[in-house]
Amino acid sequence: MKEFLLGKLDLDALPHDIFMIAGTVSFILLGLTVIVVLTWTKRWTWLWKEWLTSVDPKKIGIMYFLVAAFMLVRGGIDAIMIWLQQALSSGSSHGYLSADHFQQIFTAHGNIMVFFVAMGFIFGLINYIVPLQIRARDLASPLLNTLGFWLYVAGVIMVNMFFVLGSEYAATGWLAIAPLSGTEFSPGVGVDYWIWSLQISGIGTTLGGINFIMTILKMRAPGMTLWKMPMFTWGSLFSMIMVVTVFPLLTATLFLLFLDRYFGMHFFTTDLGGNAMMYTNLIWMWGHPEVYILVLPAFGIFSEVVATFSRKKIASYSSQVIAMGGVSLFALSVWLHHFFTMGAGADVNSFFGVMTMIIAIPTSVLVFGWIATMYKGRIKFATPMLWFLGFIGIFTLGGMSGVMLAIPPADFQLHNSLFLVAHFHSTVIGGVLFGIFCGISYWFPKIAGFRLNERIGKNAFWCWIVGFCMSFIPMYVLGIMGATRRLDHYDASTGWQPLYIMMFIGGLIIACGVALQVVQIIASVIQKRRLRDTTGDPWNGRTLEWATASPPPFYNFATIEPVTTQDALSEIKKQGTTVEPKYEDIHMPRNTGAGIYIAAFAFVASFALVWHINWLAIVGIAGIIVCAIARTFNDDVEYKIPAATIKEMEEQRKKDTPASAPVDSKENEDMSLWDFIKIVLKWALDVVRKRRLKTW
Amino acid sequence: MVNEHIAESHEEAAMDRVGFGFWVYLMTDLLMFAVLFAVFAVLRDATHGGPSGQELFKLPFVLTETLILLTSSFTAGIGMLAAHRGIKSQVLTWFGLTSVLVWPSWGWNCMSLLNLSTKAIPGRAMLRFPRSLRLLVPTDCTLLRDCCGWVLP
Repeated sequence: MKEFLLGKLDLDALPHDIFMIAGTVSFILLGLTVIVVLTWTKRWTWLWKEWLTSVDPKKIGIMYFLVAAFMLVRGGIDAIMIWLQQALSSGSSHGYLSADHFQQIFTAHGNIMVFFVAMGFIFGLINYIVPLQIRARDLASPLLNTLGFWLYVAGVIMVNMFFVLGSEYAATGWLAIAPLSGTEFSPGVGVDYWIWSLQISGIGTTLGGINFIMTILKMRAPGMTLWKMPMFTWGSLFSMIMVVTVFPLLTATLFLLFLDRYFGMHFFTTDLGGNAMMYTNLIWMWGHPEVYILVLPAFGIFSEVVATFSRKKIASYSSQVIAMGGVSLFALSVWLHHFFTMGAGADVNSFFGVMTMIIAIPTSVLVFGWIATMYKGRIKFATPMLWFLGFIGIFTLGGMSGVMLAIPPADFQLHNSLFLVAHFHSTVIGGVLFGIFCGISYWFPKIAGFRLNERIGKNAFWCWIVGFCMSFIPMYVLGIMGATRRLDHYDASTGWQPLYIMMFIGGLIIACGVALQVVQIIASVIQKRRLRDTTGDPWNGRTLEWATASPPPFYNFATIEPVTTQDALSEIKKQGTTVEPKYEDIHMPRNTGAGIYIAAFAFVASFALVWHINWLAIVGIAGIIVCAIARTFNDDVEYKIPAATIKEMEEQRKKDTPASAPVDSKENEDMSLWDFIKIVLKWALDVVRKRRLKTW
Repeated sequence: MVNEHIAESHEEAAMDRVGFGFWVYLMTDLLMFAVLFAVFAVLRDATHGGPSGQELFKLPFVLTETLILLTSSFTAGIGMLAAHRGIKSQVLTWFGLTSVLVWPSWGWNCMSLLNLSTKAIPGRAMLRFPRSLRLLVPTDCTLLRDCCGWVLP
C-alpha cells in the first residue's frame, strides 16, 4: 500500500547531510521570503495577472533573465566549490567534500550552466529582441511561448528538487554517460532527477524553437526579405533550426534511458544485449550541436554590437550570414570527436576530425568579418564593445585549442584531460556568456528604459577577463601536464597544487566580477533619472528595435511600416523623413494561465516518475491532456485595441517622456565604484542614526 | 467593410502560421522516430539468445493493423475537413468511424505488448521494443497530433 501511494519515497529521502540541509534551508528561506514580501506588498494578483500568465514576449524575456541570473549564481557556487576542493585536496589532505558529493557538484554545475543559465539567457534575449527587430507585435504562438518558459521553470525546480527530497543528484557527469547512468551503477534517484529536468525543459526548448521559426519566417514587417534581416535574427533563426533538428534526439534518447531505468529494459546496459556506446553516440548527436545552438545567437549579438559601436555597416553581410549557416550545418556532423577514443577506426575518426577542423573556416569568416567591420570605423569603447573584444581574444584561444583537439592522435593524449575542460570553457564563457553579457549591456536601455553604469561595468569586465585568464590558462597547462578532469584528489608529487590554487583564486576574481555586475545594476537604478534613455535609441543603433520607445509599449510598434533596406533604422535616420503615422486597430493575444497549468502537471508527472509513484504520474499526464484540450475550447484568445486608443496612448506617451535626460553639472555622469560604496555607507549610517534617535 | 477585411486577413495569416508551425512540429516528430528506428536497427539482433523478431512478430497481422490505422488517420482527416465546413452529421460519421477503427487496434497493441512481455525473457531490449513502438506510433499520430493541432493557435 505504502509502495503504491508513495513509490520509493520514504523518510530517508529527507535531507540529512550537512550540505543538503544547508541547501534545503536556504531554498525554503528564499521561498518564504518571496511569499512574505508578496503578501506584505499585496502583489499576488498583480504578479499573476501581469507577469506569470503574460504572453508578452518582452515580459517572458525578462522572466527568463531573472531565472537564468539566479541559476548563474547557483551554478557559480558549484564552480567555486569544485575549485576549492581541488585546491585543498592534494597528498594527505582530502579536501572538504566526499568523492561522491564532488561528482554530484560537477554534474550539477554542467547541467545548470548549459541548460538553465546559457539557454535561459539566450531564450530571454531572443524573446525580447527578435520580435522588435523584425517589427512584429507578438509571436506566432503566444501560448507555446509561455508554455516553453514554464516548462523551463519546471526543469529549474526539478534540478534543485534533490535538495528537498532525495539528497542526491546524478554523479555521472553532465551527459550521464551510460552504463554509469543505468540502475546497476546509479541506483538512486539522482539520475532520474537529471533525466526529468532535462526532459521537460528540453521539450519546452523544442516548442520555443518551433515558435521562433514560425515567427521569424512568417511575421517579419512587409518588405523585410530574408536578406534584409538583422544579424541577431539570423543567428537566432539558425539556432532555432538547430533546436528543432537535435532536441528531438535528446527527447528520444532520454526516453530510452528512462525505459532502461524504470522498466528494466536494456538499451544502454552492458549486459543482455544493451549497447552503451549507442547512448554516447545519440547523446552527443544532440550535445555537440547544443553548444552551437548557444553560440549562434551570441554571434548575432556580436555582429549587432560591432556594427553599432564602429558606426559602420557589418562588413560583408551576406558572407557573414552564409558563414553562420555553414557553422550550423557542419555542427551536425562532428559529434564523434567527443569520443575518438571509442575505437571507431581510423577512417571514421579522420572523417570527423576533418569535419571538425572545417568548422573553423566559417567561424574564421565571422571573426574576420567583425574585424573588418572595425577597420576604419569610429569605434566607441562602451561596455558591450569591451565584452566583444574580450570575446575575440578568448574565443580565438578556445577555437585554436579546439582545432588541436580535433586531430585524433592528439586527442588520444588530451581526451578527458583538463586541457579539454579549459577548451570548452574558453568557447562557452568567451563565446556564449560574454555574448550574453554583451547583449544585456547593449539592450539594457531598451529593456529598462535607462542604460547601465559604464564605469562599474568596465570594472566588472576586467574582473571577468583577469579571473578567466587566471583560472583557465593554468587549466590548459595542467591538462598538458596530464591532469584528468573531475579529479577530487591528486598526489602531492605531481606538483599541481600551486596551479590548482591559482585556478581557485581566479574563480574568486570572477565571483568579484559577478558581484560587480550586481552592483552595476543597483548603481544604475540609483542613477536611473540621469541614465534615462528618452530617445529610444541611445547608441545610435542600426536596427529596428531602436525605432520604438524604451521600454517599448506592450504592442511594440504603433504602426507597422514597410522596411526597404538592411539596417532599416539607419536608413530611416539618413532620410530623416517623418511621416504622420496612420494608426490601425491592433490585435493582441490575451494572457493565459494554460502554459503554467500544463507545466505544473508536467512537473507533477515527472516528479512521480522519479519516485515511481505510478498513480501520480497518470494524474499528471492526464492533467496535461485535459488542460490542453480545455484550452482549445477557449475561443476568446485575442482582443482588439481600436486605432483611436492607440493614438491616445501614443500621444500620452510622447507627452510623458521628457525631451531629454536632465543634464548634471558633472562631466562624467556615471558613478564610480567608490561613489557607490560612499552612497551605501551613508545610507547605512543614516539608518543606524535614525534607529538611535528612535531609541533615545 | 475595410475593418472586416483586415480582421479576416489577420485570422487567415494566423491560420497560415499555425499550418506552417505544424509542419515544423511534424519534422521534430519525424526526427524523434528516426532515433527510435536507428536504435531498432542497431539492436534488432541483440536478443541475447532469446527468440528473434522473426519468431515473435506475425507480419500479416502487423500489416493489417497498420492499414487499419492509416485508414483511421484518413477518416480523421476527412472528419476535420467536414468540421471546417461545419457539417455536423459528416463530422460525427467520420469521427465515429475513426474511433471504431482506432480503439480495436489500440486494444490489439496493448494485448500484443502484454503477450510479448510474458513470452519474451524479461530484460530483452529488442523484444519489448518494436511492439511498444507500434503502440507509440498510433498514439502519437492520432492523439498527440490532434492535441497539438488544437493547442497551436
